[in-house]
Amino acid sequence: MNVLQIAYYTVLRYIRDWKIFLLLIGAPFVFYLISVNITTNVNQGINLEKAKIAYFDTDGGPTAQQFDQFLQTKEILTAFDIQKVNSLDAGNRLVTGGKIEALIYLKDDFSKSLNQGNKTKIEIVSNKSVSATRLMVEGFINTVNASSAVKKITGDINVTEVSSGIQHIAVSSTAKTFNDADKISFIGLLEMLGFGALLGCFSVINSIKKNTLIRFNISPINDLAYVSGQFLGNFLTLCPSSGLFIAFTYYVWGSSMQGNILNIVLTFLLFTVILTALGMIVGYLTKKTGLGALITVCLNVLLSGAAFVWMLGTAHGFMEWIVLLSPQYYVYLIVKDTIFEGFTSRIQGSLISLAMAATILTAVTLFLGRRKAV
Amino acid sequence: MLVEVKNLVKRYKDVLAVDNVSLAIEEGEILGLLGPNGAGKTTTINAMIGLTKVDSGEIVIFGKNFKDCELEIKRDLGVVPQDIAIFEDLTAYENLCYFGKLYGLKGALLKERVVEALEFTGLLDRKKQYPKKFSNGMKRRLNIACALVHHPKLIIMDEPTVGIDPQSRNHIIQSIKKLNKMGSTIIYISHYMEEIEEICTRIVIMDHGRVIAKGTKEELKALMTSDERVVVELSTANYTLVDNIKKLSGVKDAYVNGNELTVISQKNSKNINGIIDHVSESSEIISLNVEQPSLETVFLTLTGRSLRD
Repeated sequence: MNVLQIAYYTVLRYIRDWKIFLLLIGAPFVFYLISVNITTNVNQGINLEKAKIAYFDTDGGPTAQQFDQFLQTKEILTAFDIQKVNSLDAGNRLVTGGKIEALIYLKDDFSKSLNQGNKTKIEIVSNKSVSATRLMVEGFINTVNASSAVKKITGDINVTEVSSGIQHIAVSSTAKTFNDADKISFIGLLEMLGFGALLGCFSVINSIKKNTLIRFNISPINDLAYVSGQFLGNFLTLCPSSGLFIAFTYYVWGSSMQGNILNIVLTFLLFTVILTALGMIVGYLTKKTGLGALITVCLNVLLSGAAFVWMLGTAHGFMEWIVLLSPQYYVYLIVKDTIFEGFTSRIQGSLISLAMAATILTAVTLFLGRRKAV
Repeated sequence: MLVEVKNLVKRYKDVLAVDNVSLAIEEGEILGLLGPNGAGKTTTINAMIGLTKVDSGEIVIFGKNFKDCELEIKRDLGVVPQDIAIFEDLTAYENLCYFGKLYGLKGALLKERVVEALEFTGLLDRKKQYPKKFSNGMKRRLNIACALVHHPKLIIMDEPTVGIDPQSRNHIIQSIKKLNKMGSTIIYISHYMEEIEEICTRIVIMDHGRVIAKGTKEELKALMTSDERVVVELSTANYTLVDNIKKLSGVKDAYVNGNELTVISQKNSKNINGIIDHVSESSEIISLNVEQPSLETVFLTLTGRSLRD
C-alpha cells in the first residue's frame, strides 16, 4: 500500500510543477503537432487514378484462365479498372472512343500454341504510345515464360513458399508510407521522449538534496517501498508523453497497423520503464544535478543517434554495437515492422530485447535505491 | 530505560567518529546532546535511527534491540532532521498526511492527528498553503509537525531552531516543553547553550567521538573548579578598599575599573558577607553580581574550545 501512496504523492507533486508539465507534456505536444503536420503533408501520397482497360478472350484455355486470374489479383485491381468485352469490335470502339486506355486481346490459339512450345502473343490495342498496360502484360508474360522454362527442365512446378530472397513489400491502401521524413521525425520525437529520463534523474537527486529521502529512511517502511513508489510515480508521470506518442503514431500510420495497436502500446510502456530506470540509475550514481543531467542527455543523444545512423544505413564499427543497446532502435523496428507488416520474428525479438532491458534496469534501480542516504 | 546505547563505535576510514559511546535515556526526560562540530553527536543519533551502520556496539530502544526490530522501533520514533525535510509542492496538510501514512495512519485518525500536529505547531490556519510560501521559522515548525503526527514515544530533534527568528524559536521551545509534559521523551541536539539549559533535564557533552561529561546542568556546573567572581558597582571606589578586600579569606585577587570592583575568590570560600561589609563601610553599593560558572564555561573547560568553533 505504501508503494501506491508514494507513487500517488510523487505524481501529485509533478502535476503541480508547471515546469515539469511543460517539459514533459506541453513541449512534446507542440512537437507532435508540428511533426503531424510535416508527416501528413509528406504522406498524402499520390492519388492514383486507375487506368481503365478492357479485356477480350477468345481462347479460354488454361493459360488464358491463368491470365484472367492474374487480372483479378488485388495488386492489379489497385492500379487498373478492368472490364470484359464480348467482341473485339466492342473493345476497339471503347479504345477509339477514348473510354478506355487499352484493350487486351487473347487470340483463340493462345493456350494451345504455348502448350506446343510455339511462340504466341497477347495483343494490346491502345491509343497511347506509353501505357502501364504493356508493363502489366509483360509481367504476366515473364511469369509464364519462366514457368515454362522451369517446367521444361524439371517437370511440374510446385511452389510452396515465398523465397526468402524476395523482400516483403507492403502496400498501403491509403498511400501513407514510412519515408525518410517520417524516419527523421520519428527518431527526433523518440529522442524528445527520451529526455523524460531527466525526470527520474532529478527525482532521485532532489530527494537527496532536499533531504526528503531521510524521511523515508527513518520511517517504518520496507527499504524497497520508497524506491518502488518513486519509480512508479515517475513512470506514471512519463506515461502521458508516451500516450501522446502512441496517439501520434496511430494518427499518422494507424491505417497501416492492421489492428496491432497493442504492439505499439506495449512497446511504449517498456520504453517508458527503461527511461525511468535509466534516469534514476544516473541519479543514484552521480547524486549531482548538473552531472546527472549531462550524462542523461548524452546517453539519450547517443542511443537515439545510434538508432538514427542505423536507420540511415550508416552505422559502422562502434555504432553497430551501440545500436544493439539502443531502446530507440528496437522501438523503431517494432513500429516500422508493425506498420509494414514486417517480420513477426523481428517484432517479437525487439519486444523481448526491450523487456529484458526494462527488467535489468528496473532491478538495478531498485538495488541502488535501497541503499541508505548516510 | 527507554534508550540504551552501549559501547557504540563507528569509524569512517581513519576517522573514529564515535568512540565507545554509551548513553542511557529515561522515559519522560529531555536529554540535551552538546558538542562542537565533528563531536560525533549526529553519527550517534543516525545510528539510533538506522541511518548509519555501526562497527560495534548495541542499541536498545523501547527494550528492543535495534538490529532485530528496526521497523517496529521506527514506528514509535519521531525524528526532526537538522535540515528541513518537507515537500514544498505539497500543502502543509498534505505533507503531514503523506508522512502520517508512512507510519500507518489512515482515515479519521490520520485527519485528526494531522490537525492536531498543525495546531500544536501553530500552522492550522496555514494548512492549505504550500511551504514555499512559508518563512523559515514556519518551515521549521512544519518540519517538527511531520515528526509528531504519529505520536512517537521518543522524539529526536537535531538542531530544530537553526536560523530562525526569536518568535519561532520561542514557539518551538515552548512546544518541546509541552510535548515533554505530555509524556514524550526527547533527545535534543543544539548549539544553543541557553536552549539546552532551559529545556533539558539532563545533558551529555560529547567531543572527539566520546562522551566527556553527563549529568544535570547543576551536576555539570559542580564539576567546575574555577574561581568565583563578584562584581560590585560602587558610588566611589578607592585603592584602600581594594587592599582591605584582598586581606579577606579566600580572596585571590581584587581590582577596580572605574567605579566597578571585581573580587576573585576561591570556589566555595563563602566570603560574600565580608566583601559587602567592607565595601559598605566606605561607599554605597549600587549593584552586586555573583557570577556562577555557566554551561558555556563548563563546555569551554571540558572541551577546550567554544561550542560554535
